[in-house]
Amino acid sequence: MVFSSFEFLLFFLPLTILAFWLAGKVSYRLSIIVLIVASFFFYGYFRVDYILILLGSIVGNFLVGQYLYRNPNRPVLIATVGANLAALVYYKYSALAVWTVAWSVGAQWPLPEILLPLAISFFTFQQIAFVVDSYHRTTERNGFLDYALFVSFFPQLIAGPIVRQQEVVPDIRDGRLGIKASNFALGLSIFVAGLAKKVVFADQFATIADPAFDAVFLGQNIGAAVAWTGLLAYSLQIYFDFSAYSDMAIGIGLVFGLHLPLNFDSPYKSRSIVEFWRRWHMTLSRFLRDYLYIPLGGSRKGPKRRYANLMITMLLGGLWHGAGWAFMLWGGLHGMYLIINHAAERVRWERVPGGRTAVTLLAWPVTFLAVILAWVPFRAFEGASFVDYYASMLTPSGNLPPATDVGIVLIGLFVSFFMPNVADIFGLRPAAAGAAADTGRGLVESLHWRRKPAVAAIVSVLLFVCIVTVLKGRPYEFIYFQF
Amino acid sequence: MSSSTSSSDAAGLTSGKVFVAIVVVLAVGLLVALEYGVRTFRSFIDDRDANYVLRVLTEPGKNVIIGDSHLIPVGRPDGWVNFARAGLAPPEGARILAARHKFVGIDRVVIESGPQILMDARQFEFRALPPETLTRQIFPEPVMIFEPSILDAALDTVVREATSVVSTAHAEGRKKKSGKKKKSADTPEARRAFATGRVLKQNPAADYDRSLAWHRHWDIVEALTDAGVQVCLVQTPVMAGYLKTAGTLDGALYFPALAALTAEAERRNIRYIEADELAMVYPDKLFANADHLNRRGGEVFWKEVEAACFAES
Repeated sequence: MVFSSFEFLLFFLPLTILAFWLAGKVSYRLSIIVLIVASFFFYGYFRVDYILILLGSIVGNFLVGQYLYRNPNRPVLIATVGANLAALVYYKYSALAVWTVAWSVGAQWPLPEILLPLAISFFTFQQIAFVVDSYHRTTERNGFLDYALFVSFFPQLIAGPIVRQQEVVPDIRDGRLGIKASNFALGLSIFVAGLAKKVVFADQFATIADPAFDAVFLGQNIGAAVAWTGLLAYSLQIYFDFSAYSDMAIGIGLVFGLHLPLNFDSPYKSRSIVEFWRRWHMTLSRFLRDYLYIPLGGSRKGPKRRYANLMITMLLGGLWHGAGWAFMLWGGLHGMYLIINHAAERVRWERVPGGRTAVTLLAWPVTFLAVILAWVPFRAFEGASFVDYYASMLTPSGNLPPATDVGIVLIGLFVSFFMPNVADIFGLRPAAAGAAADTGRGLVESLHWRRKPAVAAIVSVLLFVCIVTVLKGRPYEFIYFQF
Repeated sequence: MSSSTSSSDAAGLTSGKVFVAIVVVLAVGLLVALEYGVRTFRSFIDDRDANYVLRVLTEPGKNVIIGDSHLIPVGRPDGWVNFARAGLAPPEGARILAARHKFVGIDRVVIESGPQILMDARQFEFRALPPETLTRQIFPEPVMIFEPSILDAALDTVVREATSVVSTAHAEGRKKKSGKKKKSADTPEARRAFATGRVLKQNPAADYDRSLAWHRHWDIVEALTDAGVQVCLVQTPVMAGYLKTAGTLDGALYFPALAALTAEAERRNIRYIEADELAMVYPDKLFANADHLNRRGGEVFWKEVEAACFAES
């Protein structure tokens, strides 16, 4: 059951809200239990037997976290993190490992057929963070129900944001969850904005990107114009698709009174790769920084070690996205970009004639180009078809994309580059960062969400259009569900 | 509190409750209006899938014929509604019968039950019908906007009517298309080759008696009989050449599957009409090809089936 499905929109979400509200009338703890049960139902709807894996993971990590909080014991911490990673490796990377060993010895072994439990990458990372924080006592002790809801809360369970215990458990524990009209109005509006991003925009880009990548996979050279259009469409699809999911998660969280962290902040407006990773999948970047890059030594041990740490972090970040060497290549490319970025920051450009001007002018287009070139192996990971896709991008050809496809891509690029994002429109940016909005203040001000009847009418019509779009077809699944 | 309320009023802001109420009531109102519009103007919808689903949900008549293209030549006999459709797989047929029984009711049903229903190409949830057809119908009354094909076709119809020039051109194109007829080589060798091809294509799946089609077929038969519906299963006739090939070709499972189907029907005490049980021997002239009757063949077949199935009642 995905957010953009008939079942979710017309039944699961309204009924869960209603049950949560009614339970809240009886007792706060009951409303928490209702939300946990609904979250497990949501997860089990995909495949019922994997509920046990989620439940086992929650119970096991909770008990160890409690123990580590009382007795900070490094071997127990290492064993627990290892057990979490072992489960992840077993379910996600067994086939890749067998294939790699077989390939390296020239054998053809049957690959293990293990169905990947949905969202295992997300809830495993979330709980590793919890046990590490418990060991360092940077978290507080909680009740089991609070913890179970923190991990299983359905809006963020499947594809993030990757939330830290300190961010949500205090709200749950201190009785701040509940249906409040002002939160509900804002949350509903954000949810509808995310839904529209998904079903109106992202799926539209998919209809342009998929044929291009599929044709190359089947051995065709589609020519530069179609290949570049396809790549731009995919770059927009993955951004709109994933940020839409995050918007919907944040919106639903608010409906229940829970504030989930921002996960996207117009990444294609970035002027460097470092900035890109502060704006793209922000909660994953934060996790990798705090639980991998910094423990590896971060930037504390000199430039060479820093670059090595960056590369290791990004390679593993790539592997987290999918069990395939192409995902590692994607991570490796970003690792290389980050190293170049940090090295370039050490150059005194003002001493180079025209250097500062060149950096100012080229920073944004070069960053965008680097990011989209890295999306090729991310999308064309099967059978190393990304090599052929790069070849198509370099092949001049009379094969031109339809004008409507080009128009749709140009509109998407305009929105990504110049329009205010959900954080701007709905005022989600933390107050201290408010000044960081990229778009002109006047435009942000004029598009700023307000609790007015006319705005409610617009949200309502948008919701209606989205539901009709969902009812009359089958929306594409969210890209990040596969991770 | 009062100062915040007055500042909200001054800015023209509404309360959260009113905001949510406007969003929900307006969106629900628009959906209800859309449902009403589709119901009211459903006779204008010109789309094969949508019209089929509309017939299943609303066409009057409690005696039902269902199967794939083998039962299309039967046409629409008096007192019966025929939901036969090319490529219809048993899981889809089961869904149609369940919806039909729920929304209109069924007294008698004739279900195609020859070995061909167990072929590999029938082991799908959605084969001939658009995805999610009828699966969203959870209310006691059918909801038109819950049907992807109906909603899509209705909105297309609105767009087409708005640009009526396109509509005219489309209708002319359809006429031209329907005027074309396929030609086939009518030599004994060609017929044999065609029959062999059909037998192979329609060969039951290797695990036919554990297959999805098998289970869905018998599940719906059981559900209908439990509900008091008179169920009759029929094997549709095929040409003599087809039978000969099916009996001699290596790996052909036509006859084992037929035996399994008849045995299962007997075990469940369900009337099963085998083609060779019928009074008439079907000559080749009553067939359109190796396994499809022509219109005349369909009429003859139906008279015999109706009599054989429900003679005692």
